[in-house]
Amino acid sequence: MTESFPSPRPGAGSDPAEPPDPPHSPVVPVQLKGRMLLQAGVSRVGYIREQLDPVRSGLVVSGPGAAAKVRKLREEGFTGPLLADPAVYTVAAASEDDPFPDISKGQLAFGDPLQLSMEEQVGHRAGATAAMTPTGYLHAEDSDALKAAVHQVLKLEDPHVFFSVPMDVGWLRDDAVGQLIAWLNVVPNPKAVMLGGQMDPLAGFSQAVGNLKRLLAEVPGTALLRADLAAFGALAHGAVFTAFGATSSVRHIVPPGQAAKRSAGGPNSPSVLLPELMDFFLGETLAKRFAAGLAPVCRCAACDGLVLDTFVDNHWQVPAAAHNAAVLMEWLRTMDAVEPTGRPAWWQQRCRRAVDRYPVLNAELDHPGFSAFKVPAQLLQWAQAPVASQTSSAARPVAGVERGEV
Amino acid sequence: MSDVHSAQPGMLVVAREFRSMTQADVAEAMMKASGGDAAVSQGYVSRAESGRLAVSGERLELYAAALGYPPELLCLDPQVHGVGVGLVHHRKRASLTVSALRRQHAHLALTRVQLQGIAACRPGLGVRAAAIPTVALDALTTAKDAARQVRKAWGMPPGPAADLTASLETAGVLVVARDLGSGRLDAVSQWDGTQPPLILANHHAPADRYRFSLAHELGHLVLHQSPGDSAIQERQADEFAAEFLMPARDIRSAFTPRVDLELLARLKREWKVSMAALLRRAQSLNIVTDWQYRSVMVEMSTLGYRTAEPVEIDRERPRYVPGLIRSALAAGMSEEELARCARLLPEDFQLLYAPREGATVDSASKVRP
Repeated sequence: MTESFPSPRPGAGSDPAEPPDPPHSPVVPVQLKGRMLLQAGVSRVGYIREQLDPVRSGLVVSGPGAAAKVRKLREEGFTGPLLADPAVYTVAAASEDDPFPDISKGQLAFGDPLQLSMEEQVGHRAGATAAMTPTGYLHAEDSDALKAAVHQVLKLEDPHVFFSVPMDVGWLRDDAVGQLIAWLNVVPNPKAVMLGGQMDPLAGFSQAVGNLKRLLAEVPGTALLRADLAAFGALAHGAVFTAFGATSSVRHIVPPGQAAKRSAGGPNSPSVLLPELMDFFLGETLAKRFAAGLAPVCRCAACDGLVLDTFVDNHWQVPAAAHNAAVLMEWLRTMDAVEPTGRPAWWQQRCRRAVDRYPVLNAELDHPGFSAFKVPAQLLQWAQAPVASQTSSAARPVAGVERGEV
Repeated sequence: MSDVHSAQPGMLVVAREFRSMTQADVAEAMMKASGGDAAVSQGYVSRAESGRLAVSGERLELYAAALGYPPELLCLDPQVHGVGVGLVHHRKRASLTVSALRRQHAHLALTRVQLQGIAACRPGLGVRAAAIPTVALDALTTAKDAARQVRKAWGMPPGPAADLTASLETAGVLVVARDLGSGRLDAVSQWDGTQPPLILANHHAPADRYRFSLAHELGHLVLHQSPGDSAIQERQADEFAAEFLMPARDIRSAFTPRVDLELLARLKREWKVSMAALLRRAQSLNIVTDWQYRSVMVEMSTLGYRTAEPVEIDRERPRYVPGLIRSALAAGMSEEELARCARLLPEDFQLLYAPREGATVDSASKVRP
């Protein structure tokens, strides 16, 4: 039994000794190239908008009402890169029969969910910089659903549409990533990869970061959205652009049907980025950890001298979100100053410095009842993974040509 | 056709290797069989096996007696009778010796001869065409995809494979459960694309491991018609077996967020695969992290589950070959006649093939001179 599928890489010619052509470079809007956007739900956009770097960033609005919010932002004068992610994947899985599930509960009775979603995002006065397919969640090993999505994207015959690939991080296991890469290379469109799994998906197994880098290297025109630290790592390793989640729920995908696992403590205070450790902590956790020591004073554009054990309850949601965004923009500006070929090493050094900081800070804060900070597994992977010389496919924004105003 | 008057060198090697005898052992056994009248050296056996001298007449009788087979077997042309034809695959542990593996390859070849002989004696019971889809793997198509294709082609419903042995036999695979002489070898298979595929499975393996081994060998039949990198082919066969027995789409929802020994034991009863295989499946489907996988594995090791798992499942038994024998006996053939057809001595036939309700075959052969 055999099936006939498109070749993963176009053949070079009749000479079998001749290497195959490299995968084609998809068409990516110049406004997006090399940027790290911030991703937020409709209700959180206002928390971070002021902090966005107009040259290096932009917004991905995620979830129900994203397209309407994007349209409203345009009407309000937002001129930077904007994407509307319908986030169908949070509530429905892709299947062989239905890779782009209709979650409208019957409201789309007269149209194809894929076409209607495209129209909603980039149709007349819609406002998104590019359209993203409303792909359902791609469970680990569900290659039938992936193939079905690929075939439908091919049928669109629109190379400007981003093929959203909201996939379980299990696709980055050694025995699955090769097939993933092959199928993604069948599609001439740019891709928007998002990773699913509980807590920190990339921390689940040791090959995850390495195979993410392999994916970025072997599938041209790939973006990483709905990400955490990996948004920087991916950008350094050739992602065409990335999006960092402004809140923990948009820094990864919780597989549909599953309840999100949370760290102990509960969401009674906002998530706060502690720059020296390159990790997020609940505000109340920071307050406890620094109870017997001096908490860091933050000089970011949002805090301007605020102490980082301040965000003790949810009244501090907005300042905490602004702090997080401001720090991320600082990092982004620093990375942007590094030549693309040097960014992988720069990113690794930055992660190593953070890893080294953990024992020092723990020693400084050591006191009875103190619960030590633990190095996140993903940070370790970025710090330890071998760095090859990088020829970034992510073009650096050129002043005066690609700059947008936010 | 074989020359019935002289032995075929290739068959002498196959028969000796299956008996786990050295050339010196054969020489000594021949001398004993002659009552001490014949002087036989190891060099003689070596030359006979290399075809540098013909073995016929009285020497052939002695040779056959030494090996415990009728002379007719030794005169079969291995090429004509499919011995050694087609790729042989095996599921084994790394520590299995080369000689033990060669013995089981010989076992497979002789079983093929026996079944061909039995079928040939009973026209009408002939062997069916195999319905084994073959799938070519490439960057787009994995072994797991192939497993789903086979399940679909065979019309299997979602969920656990209820009786894998029956599914294989329905598809025309000859399944024989035997003592393979070592706990380190689970199964061997052979298929040349024309004769029915043959799987020889170790019936001493736990019932869940036995099923996984059958699925693994099915993977080889579907995927590997040509020799290739052994490590890669074994990994692909394992991936095929995992998806065939535990389809991702069906088993994903069977796992609860907390994967512990209690859950694995419950799923083992339902899916008829080992707890270890279930845990590996949970890992590959990203239901448990590597850390959680290791934690449960350590717990299983501590409890001794890595060598003997709890929860017994029903053992599957082949039905097709026993059915052939019963049918022949019911048609009036005697066991002696069937033994001749199978090119076996009657006592070997009795041990290997005679119908015994509820019994399992304890040894591949007890006939030793």
